[in-house]
Amino acid sequence: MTSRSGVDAVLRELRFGALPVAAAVGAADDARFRFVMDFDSAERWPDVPYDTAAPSARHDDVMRARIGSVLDEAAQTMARRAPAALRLVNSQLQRVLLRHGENASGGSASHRSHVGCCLLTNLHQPTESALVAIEAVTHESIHQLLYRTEQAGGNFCDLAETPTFRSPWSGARLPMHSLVHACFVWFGLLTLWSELALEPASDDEAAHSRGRIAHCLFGFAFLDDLLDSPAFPAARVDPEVLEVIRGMSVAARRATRAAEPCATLRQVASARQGAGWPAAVATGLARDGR
Amino acid sequence: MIVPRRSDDFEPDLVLLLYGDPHDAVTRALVSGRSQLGWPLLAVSTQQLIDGIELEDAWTVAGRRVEPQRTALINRLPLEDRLEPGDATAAGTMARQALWSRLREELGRFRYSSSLPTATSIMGCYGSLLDQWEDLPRLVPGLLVPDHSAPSLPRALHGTVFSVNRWTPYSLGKPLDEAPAAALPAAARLDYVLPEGSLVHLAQVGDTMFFPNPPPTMSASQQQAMVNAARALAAVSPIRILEHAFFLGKGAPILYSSFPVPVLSGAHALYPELVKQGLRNDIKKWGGRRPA
Repeated sequence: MTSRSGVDAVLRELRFGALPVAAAVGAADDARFRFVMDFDSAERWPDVPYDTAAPSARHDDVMRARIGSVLDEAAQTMARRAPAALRLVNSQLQRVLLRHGENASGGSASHRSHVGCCLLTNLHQPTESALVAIEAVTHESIHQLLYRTEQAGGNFCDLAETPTFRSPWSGARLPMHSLVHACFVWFGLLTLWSELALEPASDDEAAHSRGRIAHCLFGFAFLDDLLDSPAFPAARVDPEVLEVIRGMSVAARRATRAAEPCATLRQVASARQGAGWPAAVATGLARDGR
Repeated sequence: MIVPRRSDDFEPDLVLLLYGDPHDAVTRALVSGRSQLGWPLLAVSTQQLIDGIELEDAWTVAGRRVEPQRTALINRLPLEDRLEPGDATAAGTMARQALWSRLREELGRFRYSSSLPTATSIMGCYGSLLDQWEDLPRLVPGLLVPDHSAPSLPRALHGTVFSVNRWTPYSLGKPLDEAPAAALPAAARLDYVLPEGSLVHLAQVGDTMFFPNPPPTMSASQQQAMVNAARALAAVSPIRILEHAFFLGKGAPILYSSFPVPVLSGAHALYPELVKQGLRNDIKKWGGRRPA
């Protein structure tokens, strides 16, 4: 049985905007990631469609330098604009495998058997590499936080690989334990992007951030339908965890509604391009967390 | 959780039809037979919905006040535009996400709604064939679906294996040896063991249903098995208007797909009557159920 205090502590960590920037800056200190960049180990990562130990999965020197720069830029951006998230990354991630997958899509992965470590594949590819890196390391750090919380206080839910459920965020079929983690991860990403969107460095970054906020909110708009379905075995989720998940869903929907107080659907459709929309979402989330 | 309870039948002040395609069989049946439904009908197109309705506690439609708690809503909004990465611009995707989210919230306030938007359809559906084959047997214990395998859920298959795009519920796909794996992206590919027999369809509105193409070989027990499955679904599902396709051989029927648009049965002479009788009954009974 997971303790309520443990789950609440996770939720506090994920409310990146709740801590005043000045208070979080100290912990973020020198604006860098503290994890080890692992380009060469023989680690064979489970459940990915390529061999991370193969020589062909290693980046060449040019790519290593580029990825190092991308991660530096990501850390500096987080230190300035999302210091609480940087603090989470630095407390949860000790090692990051950086690999090249010839036929694999870019992405990141964590695994219950590798707590403190994650895999980033093809980080050199995206146009907005630093922004993608920020989301990836934050995403995987949340998984580490959840793994550690479960190790200390018990699993959040049944760990069986079947049945699977459709994630309202990715559309992928996930086992219950992955879906439960996803709820926390997407809430953390929602608060992350709501923070980053407040002072975008460019129009492209502003558009990217808004898109990510919208994506996070969309999943929460439909999460309760999944949880309420008779097909969802809610009894296999720790009740305290389920309550917190429902709370995150409510918070996201309230923030959406507060940021889009529109009388017609035409206005709703255009609200997310408004100058104040990201700030309104951030304010709504912060208000709900108090 | 929606559970049945003893209650008076719901008698709405109004039936509000939201429609995208005027040729949709449900829309046609309602618009042409409004006097037979027994309640006033107000039909609102997607365009009118977007521009002409004020969404307050009560909706204002063409100057008329619509109380969600006194209204039955028939959701026939466009089905086809899934929110998947595609050609849409980022701003366009965000606009649709905003609309879908708000509509889910708004339509959920009505005492009766024939379906609610889902993450895969604004009309509301059970998702891809893979989603249906994974989820529906948990909604309807005992329901049979084809043995299947997907890149994300690999399983060994034995028999005549077909490969299909999981988002095409009215296609059986092709035999695996005619459809090389590379032909479909991993996110769309679904392999399955083709069941014996041929497809039989069942049109359903709530607890009311009919077979538009019953084969002469269909036994009474097979017919009853399909009716029982549809009734079991109607007991728990928020999607009230459906067309099911079952494989019918010599044994128990195997569900291939459930779809909210009556692609096959919509043209049948009985379909308008199904809509009228089915909706009239379902609005009264299902609308009388309250959240526990």
